[in-house]
Amino acid sequence: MPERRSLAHRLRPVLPLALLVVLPLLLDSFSLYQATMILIYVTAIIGLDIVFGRAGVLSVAQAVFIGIGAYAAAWMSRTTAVSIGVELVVAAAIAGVAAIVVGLPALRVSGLRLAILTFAFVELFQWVLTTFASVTGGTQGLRVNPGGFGAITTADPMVGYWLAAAIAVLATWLVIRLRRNPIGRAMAAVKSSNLLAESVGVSTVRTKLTAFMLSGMLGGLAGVVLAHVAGSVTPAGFTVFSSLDLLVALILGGTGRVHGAWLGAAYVVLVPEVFARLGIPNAYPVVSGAVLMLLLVALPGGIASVLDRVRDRFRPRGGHTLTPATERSSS
Amino acid sequence: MPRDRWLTGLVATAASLTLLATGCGVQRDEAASGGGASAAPSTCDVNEKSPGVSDTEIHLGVTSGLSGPSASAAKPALDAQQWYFDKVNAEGGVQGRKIKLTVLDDQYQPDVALQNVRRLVDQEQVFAITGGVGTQNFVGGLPYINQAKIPAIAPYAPSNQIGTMENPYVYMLWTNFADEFEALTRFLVEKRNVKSFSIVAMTGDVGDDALAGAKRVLDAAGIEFKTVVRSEPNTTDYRPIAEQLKQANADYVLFLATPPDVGNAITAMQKIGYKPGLGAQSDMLDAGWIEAFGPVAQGLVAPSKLANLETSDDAKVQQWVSDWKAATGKAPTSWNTVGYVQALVTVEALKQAEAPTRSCFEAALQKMNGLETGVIPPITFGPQERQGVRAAGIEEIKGTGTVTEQPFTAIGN
Amino acid sequence: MSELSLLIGGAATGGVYALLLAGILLIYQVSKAVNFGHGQFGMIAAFFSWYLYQQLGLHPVIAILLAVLTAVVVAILFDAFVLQRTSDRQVGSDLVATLGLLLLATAVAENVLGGRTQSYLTLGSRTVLDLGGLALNLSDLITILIALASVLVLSMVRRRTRVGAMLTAVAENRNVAESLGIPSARVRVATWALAAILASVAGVLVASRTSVDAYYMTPFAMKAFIAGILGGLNRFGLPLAFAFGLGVYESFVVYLLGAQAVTPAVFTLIIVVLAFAPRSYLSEGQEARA
Repeated sequence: MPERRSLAHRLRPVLPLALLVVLPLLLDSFSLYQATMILIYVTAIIGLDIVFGRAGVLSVAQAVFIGIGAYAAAWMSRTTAVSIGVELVVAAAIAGVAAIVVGLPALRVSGLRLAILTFAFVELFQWVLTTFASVTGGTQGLRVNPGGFGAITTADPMVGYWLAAAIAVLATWLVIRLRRNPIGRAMAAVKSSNLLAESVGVSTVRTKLTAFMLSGMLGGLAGVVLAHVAGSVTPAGFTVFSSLDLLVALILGGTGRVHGAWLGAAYVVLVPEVFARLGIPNAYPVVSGAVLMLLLVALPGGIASVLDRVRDRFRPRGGHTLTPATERSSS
Repeated sequence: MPRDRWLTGLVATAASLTLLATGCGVQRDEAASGGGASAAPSTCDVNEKSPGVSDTEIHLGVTSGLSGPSASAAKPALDAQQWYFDKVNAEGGVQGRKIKLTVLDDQYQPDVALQNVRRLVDQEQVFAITGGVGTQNFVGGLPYINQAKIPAIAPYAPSNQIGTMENPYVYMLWTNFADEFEALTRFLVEKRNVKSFSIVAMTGDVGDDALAGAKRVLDAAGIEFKTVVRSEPNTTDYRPIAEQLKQANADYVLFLATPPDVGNAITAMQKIGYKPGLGAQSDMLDAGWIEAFGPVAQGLVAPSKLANLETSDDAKVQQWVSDWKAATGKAPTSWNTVGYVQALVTVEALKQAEAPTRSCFEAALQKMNGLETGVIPPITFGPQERQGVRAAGIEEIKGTGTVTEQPFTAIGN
Repeated sequence: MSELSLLIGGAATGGVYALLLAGILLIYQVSKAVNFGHGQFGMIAAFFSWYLYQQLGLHPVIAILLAVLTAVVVAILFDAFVLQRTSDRQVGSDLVATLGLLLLATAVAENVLGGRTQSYLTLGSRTVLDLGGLALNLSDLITILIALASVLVLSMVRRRTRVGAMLTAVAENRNVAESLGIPSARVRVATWALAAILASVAGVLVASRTSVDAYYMTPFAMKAFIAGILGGLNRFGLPLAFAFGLGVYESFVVYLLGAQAVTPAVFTLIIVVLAFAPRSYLSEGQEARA
């Protein structure tokens, strides 16, 4: 069903993009760093949303793909002089392939069993990082040299910001297109029910593998930017808990909607900051467990659902609010 | 057809990225890649405008693993640090100014440590970073420390990277594990005439360090390890390791692993009736570990970074112990002592600096030659030297405490 | 003789996995949720009892009973007030809820009970029995016996008794079970309580064999989940058998190939089982619900 392309609709992306452009000029160094981190998280969380929120496959391995991207970037920055474009392409490719490998068991198992298996993959990744210390730097990790094109390198924090922003926008665009695309619809069908999907000719396995691949590629891209912005990579940054952070952010923000990823990313970076400013940073881990449970009970659709409800109040009656298939409760 | 358009879009994006990619490679500015050996020795510039210094205050920052697995070490260290700074302030401060301390918890996470360093440098604008406990977290903050060129004094983060000119702004007081194990093995070979060894070393670079250090001594003496066990962090059963060690039947078993793993492994060995001599890294001298595992670890020897607070007759040590007791009513623990030294050296450097600027501060540090604190071996930095201490003593666990088997002795060449 | 020693030691560790897994299976089959925080019920029982007898001076038996009761209460409250209110609405929200439990329990334990590792009551773990030249560790024997007994009793209860039938009915289909007059709410509470008790036993045993802190159960819980993947979360006997077997497998791998080989070896096992098991073995069996 073609959507009405009103002027208002076309202008919709302009405002956020404008904000993105103007923001770095207004922020101080530390806040710029936080904004960059939020953008990196956005890409990573959108990747997770593709495989989990849209295709319904619970994966705890997202940190592995980010880690692969980050370590690939670190290694390339130290041993070669390639531009950051090459780093991004190579990292996305490796991470995408790794994601397909992680997703392969989907050929034979599904559901929670697959989820636990992705848990095991993260442990395997950690094992590889610590055991092959001569290549990966072991527990102390690797220092990352700046990347870029020619004289424009990520040694300049603005460059880091722009990179993160460009990739986040790319990821957002990708996932919006995905929904209207047969692949995206296939994912929604698979999420609803494997049986149903197969019965209408959708290959469950291929759809799930595609979802994994996309999530891996986005994770890899996020990892490259993360490596350059942080300046170093260590195994402690890519553990099961890192994956869980992303999952928490996604669910709190709201799955299946792209602004859910943005909200989740903002939550995960800004809320601990609030606690830090209040002088009680340690309260965050303790409280976050409790707050998480509270939000799940009170706001199952995540923060995005609240915003959606508010927006719906103002939407004119008879509008085409396309309720995404992903939101209908799948039993 | 939408699908074709989508694919086209994807291909187009990939193509443009590739075009960008095949474009110029990246020019890397040498100074940006971590400082390297090109850092010049500091010449004191009294007119330099350094952040964190006002007419009344010198603002210092701490990032440390105050929550998480390192909390039981980091908190006591911070307590002593703060106590010392308060004491100095009560006596009039340093350079005519009071010390203000901003403390941030990095939860033993490298990304949080990086954020903390950024916060300290960009928002709080501190003069220098002092103290801190934990290696994996501190390492995360290193890139920004190098980028911001902010001095960091004595973090308790034993590592083979820190204390080298790779990170010229970090002034290190704590020996790394390679040195520790060299000292330990040398003591056992030369003073106790041990002829056969096995070793349990954690997988990864930390274990590699310990192995390398021990091997320096063993190779020179023509001794080989009977067996080398690489242990994993998520071990659920220590029996197989114990069996392997028992089979090898060395006179002494050396350990480098997390304190709980070392304790559990020793317990497992005892259960199957294998009771060799024991050696481990300095963490095992911590009172908490001895309390938990003392009964099975009697006679364990370890290199010591700190003087034995209970038996030392050094005047400075006894002064520290009595001062702390007077202030808190309790004897100081080893972690308190770590924090005390971290603060002490920071203040000493501030006192010796000709002016409260970063270059003068660093120049003062680099001039330290054999500085005596009593509680740790003498400290010597230099224009190209950032490892201030390369010496250790040897302590043995006896009863609920330790006895000194060897005083502070220099390590290596 | 060391082979036998490894076998017994491995079976004891496997017994711990089995105790944890039994609780996980019960919870999964009745509540349809994988409880990722399950290991922490054991941690609460062990670490809290340590605190009670070591810091407050209570008699160890009383300390353990109180701590186990605490774990049970936490389990029941969690299910009633958090899990049951999230399950149906959003895929994965029950997972996140159990993760919330994991995070909260760990953070609270760390802050209240301390971050340092402590040694626990030995409960026979240092006692060695000599049976005709073979040195057997008492704790190993106790662990194996308790684990086997619990598993067998549970199996029998599930299959042969009315209570077991009620459990299975609620696990199959809660609505139908309720319409048949089965008090599904009470069954659920009983399930969580029982699971927490099993986890507590595991927690205390592990603490007595090694040491205790806020994170010590995590590797054990992970292995229990792996045994669950291998055997299937919808079954009972087979995954528990896998749990025992996994302990023995690991034990021999460490001895023969070194501790570094454990992670890849376990992985290989998972891949092999998943690749070569027949499809019917691997299906979750819950599909026809379009």
